[in-house]
Amino acid sequence: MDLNKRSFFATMAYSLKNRYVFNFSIRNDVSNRFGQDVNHRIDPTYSFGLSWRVMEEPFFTRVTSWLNALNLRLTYGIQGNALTRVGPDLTLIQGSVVDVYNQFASIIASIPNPNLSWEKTHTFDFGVDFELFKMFTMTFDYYLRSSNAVVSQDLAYEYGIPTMQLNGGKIQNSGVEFTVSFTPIQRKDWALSVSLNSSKNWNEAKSQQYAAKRGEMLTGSSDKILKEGYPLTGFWSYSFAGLSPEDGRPLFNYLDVPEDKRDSNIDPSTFLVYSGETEPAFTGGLNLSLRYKNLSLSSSFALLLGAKKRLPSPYEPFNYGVYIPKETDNLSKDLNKRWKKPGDEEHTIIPGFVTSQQFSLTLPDNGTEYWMDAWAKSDAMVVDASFFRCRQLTLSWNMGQELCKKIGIKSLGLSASVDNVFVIANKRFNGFDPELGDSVQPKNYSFGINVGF
Amino acid sequence: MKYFLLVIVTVGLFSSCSDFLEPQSQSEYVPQDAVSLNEMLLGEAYPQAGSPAAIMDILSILDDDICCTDTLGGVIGINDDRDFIALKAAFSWQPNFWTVMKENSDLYENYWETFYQFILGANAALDYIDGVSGTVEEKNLVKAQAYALRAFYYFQLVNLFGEPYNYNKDALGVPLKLTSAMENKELPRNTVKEVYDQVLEDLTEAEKMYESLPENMQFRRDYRTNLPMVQLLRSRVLLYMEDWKNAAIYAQKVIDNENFSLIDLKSLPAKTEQQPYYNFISMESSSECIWVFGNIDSYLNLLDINLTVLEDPSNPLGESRYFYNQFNASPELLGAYVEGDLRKENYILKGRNKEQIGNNQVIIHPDGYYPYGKFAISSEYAAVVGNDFAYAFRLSEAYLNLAEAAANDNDPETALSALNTLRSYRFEEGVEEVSGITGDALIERIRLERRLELCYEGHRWFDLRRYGMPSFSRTWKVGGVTVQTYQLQEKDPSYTLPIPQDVLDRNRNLEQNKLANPR
Repeated sequence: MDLNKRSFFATMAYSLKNRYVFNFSIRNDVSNRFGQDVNHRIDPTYSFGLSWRVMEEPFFTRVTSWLNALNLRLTYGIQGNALTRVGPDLTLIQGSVVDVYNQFASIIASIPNPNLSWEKTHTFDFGVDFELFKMFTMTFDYYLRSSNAVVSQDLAYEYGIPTMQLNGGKIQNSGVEFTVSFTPIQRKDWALSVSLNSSKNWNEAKSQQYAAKRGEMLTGSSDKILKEGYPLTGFWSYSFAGLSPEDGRPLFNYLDVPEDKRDSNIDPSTFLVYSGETEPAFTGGLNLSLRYKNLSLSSSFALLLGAKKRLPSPYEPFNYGVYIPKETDNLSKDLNKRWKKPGDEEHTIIPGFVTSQQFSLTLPDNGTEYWMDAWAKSDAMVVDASFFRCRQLTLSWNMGQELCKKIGIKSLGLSASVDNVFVIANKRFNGFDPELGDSVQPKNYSFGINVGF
Repeated sequence: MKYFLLVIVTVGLFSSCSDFLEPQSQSEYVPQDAVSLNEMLLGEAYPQAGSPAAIMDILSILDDDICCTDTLGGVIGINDDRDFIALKAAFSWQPNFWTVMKENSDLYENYWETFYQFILGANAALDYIDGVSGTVEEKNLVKAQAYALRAFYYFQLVNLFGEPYNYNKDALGVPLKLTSAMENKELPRNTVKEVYDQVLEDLTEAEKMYESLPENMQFRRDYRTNLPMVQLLRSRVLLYMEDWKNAAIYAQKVIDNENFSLIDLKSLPAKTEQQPYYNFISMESSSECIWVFGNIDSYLNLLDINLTVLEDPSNPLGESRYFYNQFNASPELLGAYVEGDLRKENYILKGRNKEQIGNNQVIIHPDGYYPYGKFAISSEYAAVVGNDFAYAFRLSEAYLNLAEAAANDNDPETALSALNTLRSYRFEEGVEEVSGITGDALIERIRLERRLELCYEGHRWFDLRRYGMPSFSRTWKVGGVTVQTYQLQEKDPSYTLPIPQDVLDRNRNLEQNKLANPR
């Protein structure tokens, strides 16, 4: 549809004595996206901010010898986003003349959706910037954001359309972000600088607006609340209870429910176990650089803590244990450690290749799952995805000006670097990269010469 | 004191035009009249010849009219290989055959989803038709089609996924979704009886709407549903419900309709190289066709699968290859066409495969009878894919419905008369009339005639279900080598198809059917 839009935009900034800055902005979008419903065409956004340059205050002049800058920032904003909203009318898309029928055809563009309210985000941000002794600078931010985001949900096939937009529930995010740079040595021959950045985010599902399905809980979602009170990026797993001593098939806790107690509307978290978050709680980066005369060494490290993930199942090419794989399939080495004879269950968690006709189990919600598939989605395959990685090491040397002049060139530089130097992670990754799961990040060595004439 | 003040205000530059915010578009619009909703029906609710939506095609792979070929050949290439795993699972009625198909090949179709997408189109038309402009006739024409189509889709759905009506009508059928509204709700299954009742109610409404129209609008050769289509469908539904009297009445209405007449197979145009087979699924060439629908391509996806024969390398072109069809018409069906029955050579394509051996040289390898042949066939002895339809509501079904209903209702005269009328158009001169049988023998005879007449049109599997779900077996072979024989037991749970797992995953209130044991 041609989207006609009219916007009002106003912004106002006011600065008092060069130290108090106040700003305000409003934006109002009016669009015809919402069909004939005039009341729903307006969509305002406000924001308001205050900052204070503390150093400009007369009573602070005394400390300027060691405190070089200090700013405080405060912003608050409300953002309404209604553009994802579907209008109140049935809308069609005009198609062309259909062959044979020789008549025009139209298809449905959208069906009215009564289940949607405004998507609204409130954001509050507080920040401090300061510099000490001309060698230590720091930026610190704290934010609080609450939203009732519109997400797309799979709809039962009986509705004839695959997905529906709905409000995913109230989500509150809060977090801190900071960057510190420290340059303790800055002399002619020697220089050392360290910079560290880090962020940590907490989110909480405040209110749940729909009941999550088993499949969603097993894979996790990043925008929908699956269970109230749990983090948004949480996921759940089947609870593995070891291998059967008889045929090496996987056994599970909580799934063995008598037929008459099974209920398709049961909350899946009653028979699944919580496995943690797919997103890290803490990420940090560290960059170090050291220079002695013309020689410098720089390095970059990354640290990620608190995320969980599932290992890839060695039985994947078997279609979860139903078929013998083809000779052309690449199989996992882990299959050598699979259950082969009674007793093996003591020291392996990899199920044996089940040869019986029965491959699946019935769940307490009346669903079925292949054994191997359930095992692949069990807590036995969940590992801590935290890691510490050295991303890069670089050594470089630049020839001195005088020497350059002597041999008649402008500059000469040599550098050598290594990417992905090492990574320290859970040993269950078997040496594979914790971010990729079933392969490794290549180690790149590079060497460079830079000559300027 | 120093003040610094900055104010910027920008006001919309386009505000002069008062109707600027009125919704407008050439391609996307809010339907305001009955004509728009009629266009929506065509786009959303009709199984067009040129659209890939599959609604019927799984039926033909389930029944006893097909078998695996005995010709040589092998499965070559990784895609073929996966397709054969998928087809074998369906052919052997495995309880998890949908899942196996889905995980192995793109032959998987979610029939449940496709039917409900069409139903949404019909529901939306019914929901909005009273709020738009248009004449009473225009509106009633839209309603008539929407009810007719919805009835047809629910009838197909309940027979795919619910137990047969005459076996257990209180069993679970499919959920009845009768409006286009979206809700955050998962609908449970209605019973088979409730679905049939809804089908009858929709057919009643459709009939009423068509009858309110002038006669020249009740049937037009415009590929839309029509009054005789509604009547034929009603006679079929009533036959399945064993309401013999009314099934006969509605079949008779179709037979009495002067727009249609049986084609005499004796006087078909002679077969030519250009047109080796007559097209029976066509509103142009077939006076028997009442309504045509569905897409040939998706039929061929399941039933036109090739085995490859690698020819010997002494061939001047080097190594060449040719193909045989994995599926053939079953010997039981072929053997049931007696001497003088013209249907075998007209309804069932006798395959011919070409092998290229030189620049302009080909060898023709005769193949068996393929499990299709009524729809458009090209001079290459292959199905025509494009703007030709795969399925039809045909007049001959009305004769068979009438015969079967009358025979069950102790009216052998009417039954024999309908049967012999149909047969007189199907045989060479001088065929003996069926006579002197009554009761079960007559019913059996009519059922046989139904099988011979309606093969590969999506009837046989449903007919087997209402005949009491008899036991039969089929053998999976590759290149003529037997792999395994599978037995469908009498009243086997597989006669009611399992609901696909992806459907269950999206609706927790759906209860799965009783599953057969893996075979």
